[in-house]
Amino acid sequence: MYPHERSLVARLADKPFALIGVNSDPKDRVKSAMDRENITWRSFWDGGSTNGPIAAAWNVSGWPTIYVLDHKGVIRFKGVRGEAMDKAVDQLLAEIEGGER
Amino acid sequence: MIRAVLSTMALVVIGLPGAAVAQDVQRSDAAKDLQRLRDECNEAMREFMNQYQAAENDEQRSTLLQESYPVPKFGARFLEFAKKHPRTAEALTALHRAMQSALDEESQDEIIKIIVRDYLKSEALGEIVPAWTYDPSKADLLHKIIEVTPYHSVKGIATYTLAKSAMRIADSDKDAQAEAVAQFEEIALKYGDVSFRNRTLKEVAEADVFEATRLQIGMEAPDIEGTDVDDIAFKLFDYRGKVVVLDFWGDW
Repeated sequence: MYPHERSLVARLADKPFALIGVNSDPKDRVKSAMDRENITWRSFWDGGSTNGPIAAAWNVSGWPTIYVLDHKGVIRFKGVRGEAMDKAVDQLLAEIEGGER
Repeated sequence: MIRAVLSTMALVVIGLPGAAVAQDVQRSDAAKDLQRLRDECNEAMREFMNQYQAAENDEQRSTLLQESYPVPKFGARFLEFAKKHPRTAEALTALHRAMQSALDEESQDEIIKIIVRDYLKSEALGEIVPAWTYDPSKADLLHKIIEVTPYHSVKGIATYTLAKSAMRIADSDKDAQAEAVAQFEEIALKYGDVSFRNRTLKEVAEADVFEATRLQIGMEAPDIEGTDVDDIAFKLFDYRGKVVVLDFWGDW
Protein backbone atom coordinates (compact mmCIF):
# COMPACT_ATOMS: atom_id res chain seq x y z
CA MET A 1 0.00 0.00 0.00
CA TYR A 2 2.86 2.41 0.72
CA PRO A 3 4.15 2.64 -2.87
CA HIS A 4 0.68 3.41 -4.23
CA GLU A 5 -0.03 6.07 -1.66
CA ARG A 6 3.44 7.55 -2.09
CA SER A 7 2.91 7.94 -5.82
CA LEU A 8 -0.58 9.41 -5.33
CA VAL A 9 0.79 12.03 -2.93
CA ALA A 10 3.69 12.81 -5.29
CA ARG A 11 1.47 13.08 -8.36
CA LEU A 12 -0.94 15.48 -6.62
CA ALA A 13 1.67 17.54 -4.75
CA ASP A 14 0.50 20.83 -6.30
CA LYS A 15 -3.24 20.03 -6.14
CA PRO A 16 -5.71 20.81 -3.34
CA PHE A 17 -5.29 17.32 -1.98
CA ALA A 18 -4.17 15.77 1.30
CA LEU A 19 -3.67 12.20 2.46
CA ILE A 20 -4.31 12.10 6.20
CA GLY A 21 -3.56 9.00 8.21
CA VAL A 22 -4.89 7.74 11.49
CA ASN A 23 -2.21 5.46 12.82
CA SER A 24 -2.74 2.65 15.31
CA ASP A 25 0.87 1.64 15.99
CA PRO A 26 3.03 2.32 19.03
CA LYS A 27 4.91 5.57 18.48
CA ASP A 28 8.39 4.12 17.91
CA ARG A 29 6.95 1.72 15.36
CA VAL A 30 5.08 4.37 13.36
CA LYS A 31 8.14 6.63 13.37
CA SER A 32 10.41 3.91 12.06
CA ALA A 33 7.80 2.95 9.42
CA MET A 34 7.62 6.59 8.30
CA ASP A 35 11.40 6.76 7.96
CA ARG A 36 11.76 3.40 6.27
CA GLU A 37 8.89 3.89 3.81
CA ASN A 38 9.53 7.57 3.22
CA ILE A 39 6.03 8.50 4.37
CA THR A 40 5.64 12.24 4.00
CA TRP A 41 1.97 12.61 4.82
CA ARG A 42 0.66 13.46 8.22
CA SER A 43 -1.09 11.05 10.57
CA PHE A 44 -3.12 11.44 13.70
CA TRP A 45 -1.50 9.21 16.27
CA ASP A 46 -4.27 7.11 17.82
CA GLY A 47 -2.71 6.16 21.14
CA GLY A 48 -0.61 3.22 19.99
CA SER A 49 -3.23 0.50 19.53
CA THR A 50 -6.19 -0.51 17.40
CA ASN A 51 -8.39 0.36 20.39
CA GLY A 52 -7.48 4.05 20.07
CA PRO A 53 -10.14 6.75 20.55
CA ILE A 54 -10.34 7.89 16.91
CA ALA A 55 -10.69 4.38 15.48
CA ALA A 56 -13.25 3.61 18.21
CA ALA A 57 -15.31 6.72 17.43
CA TRP A 58 -15.21 5.97 13.70
CA ASN A 59 -16.12 2.33 14.39
CA VAL A 60 -13.09 1.03 12.52
CA SER A 61 -12.64 -2.73 12.82
CA GLY A 62 -10.43 -3.46 9.82
CA TRP A 63 -7.22 -1.88 8.60
CA PRO A 64 -6.72 -0.13 6.31
CA THR A 65 -10.09 1.63 6.32
CA ILE A 66 -10.39 4.41 3.76
CA TYR A 67 -12.73 7.41 3.52
CA VAL A 68 -12.51 9.95 0.70
CA LEU A 69 -13.88 13.44 1.44
CA ASP A 70 -14.55 16.19 -1.07
CA HIS A 71 -13.33 19.77 -0.59
CA LYS A 72 -16.46 20.58 1.43
CA GLY A 73 -15.72 17.79 3.88
CA VAL A 74 -18.50 15.50 2.64
CA ILE A 75 -17.85 11.74 2.64
CA ARG A 76 -18.01 10.70 -1.03
CA PHE A 77 -16.31 7.30 -1.15
CA LYS A 78 -15.50 4.53 1.30
CA GLY A 79 -13.15 1.57 1.09
CA VAL A 80 -11.55 2.52 -2.24
CA ARG A 81 -8.06 1.12 -2.80
CA GLY A 82 -5.49 1.29 -5.56
CA GLU A 83 -6.82 2.48 -8.90
CA ALA A 84 -10.30 3.09 -7.46
CA MET A 85 -8.77 5.51 -4.95
CA ASP A 86 -6.96 7.40 -7.73
CA LYS A 87 -10.16 7.63 -9.77
CA ALA A 88 -12.18 8.87 -6.78
CA VAL A 89 -9.65 11.56 -5.95
CA ASP A 90 -9.31 12.67 -9.58
CA GLN A 91 -13.08 12.96 -9.89
CA LEU A 92 -13.31 15.14 -6.75
CA LEU A 93 -10.41 17.34 -7.91
CA ALA A 94 -12.14 17.78 -11.27
CA GLU A 95 -15.26 18.94 -9.41
CA ILE A 96 -13.26 21.73 -7.78
CA GLU A 97 -11.72 22.76 -11.08
CA GLY A 98 -15.14 22.66 -12.77
CA GLY A 99 -16.46 25.14 -10.19
CA GLU A 100 -19.12 24.56 -7.57
CA ARG A 101 -21.61 21.92 -8.53
CA MET B 1 -25.93 -52.99 36.37
CA ILE B 2 -24.26 -54.56 39.38
CA ARG B 3 -21.07 -52.77 38.54
CA ALA B 4 -22.92 -49.45 38.39
CA VAL B 5 -24.42 -50.01 41.81
CA LEU B 6 -21.06 -51.01 43.20
CA SER B 7 -19.32 -47.95 41.89
CA THR B 8 -22.08 -45.73 43.24
CA MET B 9 -21.61 -47.38 46.61
CA ALA B 10 -17.89 -46.95 46.37
CA LEU B 11 -18.42 -43.23 45.80
CA VAL B 12 -20.68 -43.04 48.82
CA VAL B 13 -18.06 -44.82 50.91
CA ILE B 14 -15.22 -42.67 49.67
CA GLY B 15 -17.36 -39.61 50.03
CA LEU B 16 -17.65 -36.50 47.94
CA PRO B 17 -14.21 -35.02 48.57
CA GLY B 18 -12.61 -38.06 46.94
CA ALA B 19 -14.87 -37.78 43.93
CA ALA B 20 -14.10 -34.10 43.63
CA VAL B 21 -10.37 -34.80 43.71
CA ALA B 22 -10.73 -37.46 41.01
CA GLN B 23 -12.63 -35.01 38.84
CA ASP B 24 -10.04 -32.30 39.39
CA VAL B 25 -7.27 -34.63 38.31
CA GLN B 26 -9.21 -35.43 35.14
CA ARG B 27 -9.85 -31.78 34.49
CA SER B 28 -6.24 -30.75 34.94
CA ASP B 29 -5.19 -33.59 32.60
CA ALA B 30 -7.40 -32.06 29.92
CA ALA B 31 -5.97 -28.62 30.67
CA LYS B 32 -2.41 -29.94 30.42
CA ASP B 33 -3.14 -31.80 27.18
CA LEU B 34 -4.68 -28.67 25.70
CA GLN B 35 -1.74 -26.53 26.78
CA ARG B 36 0.66 -29.01 25.18
CA LEU B 37 -1.33 -28.97 21.95
CA ARG B 38 -1.38 -25.16 21.92
CA ASP B 39 2.37 -24.98 22.54
CA GLU B 40 3.00 -27.46 19.76
CA CYS B 41 0.76 -25.48 17.40
CA ASN B 42 2.45 -22.17 18.26
CA GLU B 43 5.88 -23.71 17.77
CA ALA B 44 4.87 -25.14 14.36
CA MET B 45 3.48 -21.74 13.40
CA ARG B 46 6.72 -20.01 14.42
CA GLU B 47 8.75 -22.46 12.39
CA PHE B 48 6.46 -22.01 9.40
CA MET B 49 6.74 -18.21 9.61
CA ASN B 50 10.53 -18.48 9.71
CA GLN B 51 10.55 -20.65 6.59
CA TYR B 52 8.05 -18.35 4.91
CA GLN B 53 10.13 -15.28 5.61
CA ALA B 54 13.27 -17.06 4.42
CA ALA B 55 11.62 -18.07 1.13
CA GLU B 56 13.24 -16.40 -1.85
CA ASN B 57 10.35 -16.03 -4.27
CA ASP B 58 6.59 -16.28 -4.71
CA GLU B 59 6.87 -19.81 -6.04
CA GLN B 60 8.60 -21.05 -2.91
CA ARG B 61 6.10 -19.16 -0.78
CA SER B 62 3.12 -20.68 -2.52
CA THR B 63 4.60 -24.18 -2.27
CA LEU B 64 5.16 -23.64 1.45
CA LEU B 65 1.59 -22.43 1.92
CA GLN B 66 0.20 -25.43 0.09
CA GLU B 67 2.38 -28.08 1.67
CA SER B 68 3.43 -26.89 5.11
CA TYR B 69 0.84 -24.43 6.43
CA PRO B 70 0.23 -25.98 9.88
CA VAL B 71 -3.12 -24.44 10.79
CA PRO B 72 -5.57 -26.93 9.21
CA LYS B 73 -3.61 -29.89 10.55
CA PHE B 74 -3.78 -28.47 14.07
CA GLY B 75 -7.43 -27.56 13.57
CA ALA B 76 -8.13 -31.25 13.06
CA ARG B 77 -6.20 -32.07 16.24
CA PHE B 78 -8.08 -29.46 18.27
CA LEU B 79 -11.32 -31.03 17.07
CA GLU B 80 -10.01 -34.47 18.02
CA PHE B 81 -9.09 -33.16 21.46
CA ALA B 82 -12.60 -31.76 21.92
CA LYS B 83 -14.12 -35.13 21.06
CA LYS B 84 -11.81 -36.87 23.52
CA HIS B 85 -12.77 -34.56 26.39
CA PRO B 86 -16.50 -34.03 25.90
CA ARG B 87 -18.38 -31.44 27.97
CA THR B 88 -15.23 -29.89 29.47
CA ALA B 89 -14.43 -26.19 29.32
CA GLU B 90 -11.19 -27.13 27.57
CA ALA B 91 -13.10 -28.86 24.78
CA LEU B 92 -15.03 -25.67 24.05
CA THR B 93 -11.77 -23.71 23.92
CA ALA B 94 -10.39 -26.34 21.53
CA LEU B 95 -13.53 -26.16 19.37
CA HIS B 96 -13.03 -22.40 19.15
CA ARG B 97 -9.47 -22.93 17.91
CA ALA B 98 -10.67 -25.60 15.47
CA MET B 99 -13.33 -23.21 14.16
CA GLN B 100 -10.66 -20.66 13.27
CA SER B 101 -8.50 -23.21 11.47
CA ALA B 102 -9.82 -23.26 7.91
CA LEU B 103 -11.13 -26.82 8.24
CA ASP B 104 -13.27 -28.46 5.58
CA GLU B 105 -17.04 -28.03 5.66
CA GLU B 106 -17.67 -31.43 7.18
CA SER B 107 -15.46 -30.67 10.18
CA GLN B 108 -17.04 -27.23 10.56
CA ASP B 109 -20.46 -28.90 10.68
CA GLU B 110 -19.19 -31.36 13.26
CA ILE B 111 -17.93 -28.51 15.45
CA ILE B 112 -21.34 -26.81 15.33
CA LYS B 113 -23.08 -30.11 16.17
CA ILE B 114 -20.92 -30.57 19.27
CA ILE B 115 -21.57 -26.98 20.36
CA VAL B 116 -25.32 -27.46 19.93
CA ARG B 117 -25.20 -30.78 21.79
CA ASP B 118 -23.03 -29.77 24.75
CA TYR B 119 -22.59 -26.01 25.04
CA LEU B 120 -25.79 -24.15 24.13
CA LYS B 121 -26.08 -22.96 27.73
CA SER B 122 -22.37 -22.30 28.28
CA GLU B 123 -21.22 -18.87 29.42
CA ALA B 124 -18.05 -19.22 27.32
CA LEU B 125 -20.17 -19.09 24.15
CA GLY B 126 -19.84 -15.32 24.50
CA GLU B 127 -16.25 -15.72 23.30
CA ILE B 128 -17.24 -17.77 20.29
CA VAL B 129 -20.40 -16.30 18.79
CA PRO B 130 -18.71 -13.11 17.46
CA ALA B 131 -16.91 -15.38 14.97
CA TRP B 132 -20.33 -15.87 13.33
CA THR B 133 -20.80 -12.20 12.48
CA TYR B 134 -21.75 -11.83 8.80
CA ASP B 135 -22.39 -15.59 8.54
CA PRO B 136 -26.08 -15.91 7.57
CA SER B 137 -25.97 -19.70 8.00
CA LYS B 138 -25.53 -19.19 11.77
CA ALA B 139 -28.59 -16.93 12.25
CA ASP B 140 -30.89 -19.74 13.43
CA LEU B 141 -28.27 -21.00 15.86
CA LEU B 142 -27.81 -17.48 17.27
CA HIS B 143 -31.57 -17.12 17.76
CA LYS B 144 -31.60 -20.49 19.52
CA ILE B 145 -28.76 -19.42 21.84
CA ILE B 146 -30.56 -16.15 22.67
CA GLU B 147 -33.64 -18.21 23.53
CA VAL B 148 -32.00 -20.75 25.82
CA THR B 149 -28.91 -19.16 27.37
CA PRO B 150 -29.21 -18.35 31.06
CA TYR B 151 -26.46 -15.72 30.68
CA HIS B 152 -27.17 -12.01 30.15
CA SER B 153 -23.70 -11.59 28.59
CA VAL B 154 -24.18 -14.39 26.03
CA LYS B 155 -27.64 -13.10 25.15
CA GLY B 156 -26.25 -9.60 24.63
CA ILE B 157 -23.29 -10.70 22.49
CA ALA B 158 -25.44 -13.03 20.35
CA THR B 159 -27.99 -10.23 19.83
CA TYR B 160 -25.19 -7.83 18.88
CA THR B 161 -23.74 -10.39 16.43
CA LEU B 162 -27.13 -10.67 14.70
CA ALA B 163 -27.49 -6.87 14.56
CA LYS B 164 -24.06 -6.52 12.90
CA SER B 165 -25.11 -8.98 10.20
CA ALA B 166 -28.45 -7.20 9.74
CA MET B 167 -26.59 -3.90 9.24
CA ARG B 168 -24.28 -5.45 6.65
CA ILE B 169 -27.24 -6.95 4.76
CA ALA B 170 -29.16 -3.63 4.95
CA ASP B 171 -26.42 -2.05 2.78
CA SER B 172 -28.18 0.94 1.22
CA ASP B 173 -31.75 -0.07 2.08
CA LYS B 174 -32.84 2.84 4.31
CA ASP B 175 -35.63 0.98 6.14
CA ALA B 176 -33.46 -2.03 6.92
CA GLN B 177 -30.72 0.34 8.09
CA ALA B 178 -33.10 2.16 10.41
CA GLU B 179 -34.16 -1.17 11.85
CA ALA B 180 -30.55 -2.19 12.48
CA VAL B 181 -29.86 1.17 14.15
CA ALA B 182 -32.88 0.60 16.41
CA GLN B 183 -31.42 -2.82 17.31
CA PHE B 184 -28.06 -1.30 18.24
CA GLU B 185 -29.79 1.33 20.37
CA GLU B 186 -31.74 -1.37 22.17
CA ILE B 187 -28.56 -3.40 22.74
CA ALA B 188 -26.81 -0.36 24.22
CA LEU B 189 -29.74 0.02 26.64
CA LYS B 190 -30.37 -3.61 27.56
CA TYR B 191 -26.90 -5.13 27.39
CA GLY B 192 -24.69 -2.03 27.69
CA ASP B 193 -22.85 -3.38 30.73
CA VAL B 194 -21.59 -6.54 28.97
CA SER B 195 -17.82 -6.67 28.29
CA PHE B 196 -16.93 -7.11 24.66
CA ARG B 197 -13.41 -7.09 23.18
CA ASN B 198 -11.89 -4.77 25.80
CA ARG B 199 -14.91 -2.50 25.61
CA THR B 200 -18.59 -2.74 26.51
CA LEU B 201 -21.58 -3.52 24.31
CA LYS B 202 -22.79 0.03 25.04
CA GLU B 203 -19.60 1.47 23.54
CA VAL B 204 -19.49 -0.76 20.48
CA ALA B 205 -23.23 -0.52 19.73
CA GLU B 206 -23.12 3.27 20.05
CA ALA B 207 -20.16 3.34 17.65
CA ASP B 208 -22.25 1.30 15.18
CA VAL B 209 -25.08 3.83 15.52
CA PHE B 210 -22.58 6.65 14.96
CA GLU B 211 -21.22 4.99 11.82
CA ALA B 212 -24.72 4.39 10.45
CA THR B 213 -25.98 7.90 11.17
CA ARG B 214 -22.87 10.09 10.72
CA LEU B 215 -20.37 8.28 8.51
CA GLN B 216 -22.34 7.40 5.40
CA ILE B 217 -21.61 8.54 1.86
CA GLY B 218 -23.14 11.98 1.30
CA MET B 219 -22.80 13.02 4.97
CA GLU B 220 -20.45 15.73 6.19
CA ALA B 221 -17.59 13.98 7.98
CA PRO B 222 -17.29 14.79 11.68
CA ASP B 223 -14.11 16.56 12.78
CA ILE B 224 -11.13 14.72 14.22
CA GLU B 225 -9.02 16.60 16.73
CA GLY B 226 -5.74 15.00 17.68
CA THR B 227 -1.98 15.16 17.54
CA ASP B 228 0.48 13.83 15.00
CA VAL B 229 3.42 11.56 15.81
CA ASP B 230 5.46 14.64 16.82
CA ASP B 231 2.75 15.69 19.32
CA ILE B 232 1.65 18.63 17.17
CA ALA B 233 -2.11 19.23 17.41
CA PHE B 234 -4.18 19.41 14.24
CA LYS B 235 -7.73 18.85 13.04
CA LEU B 236 -9.38 17.17 10.09
CA PHE B 237 -11.33 20.41 9.51
CA ASP B 238 -7.96 22.18 8.85
CA TYR B 239 -8.12 20.49 5.44
CA ARG B 240 -11.40 22.02 4.29
CA GLY B 241 -11.04 23.15 0.70
CA LYS B 242 -8.95 20.10 -0.14
CA VAL B 243 -9.89 16.64 -1.27
CA VAL B 244 -8.90 14.33 1.60
CA VAL B 245 -8.12 10.64 1.68
CA LEU B 246 -8.52 9.60 5.30
CA ASP B 247 -6.56 6.41 5.80
CA PHE B 248 -6.76 4.37 9.02
CA TRP B 249 -3.51 2.44 8.85
CA GLY B 250 -0.97 0.44 10.77
CA ASP B 251 2.44 -0.87 9.89
CA TRP B 252 1.70 -4.60 9.93
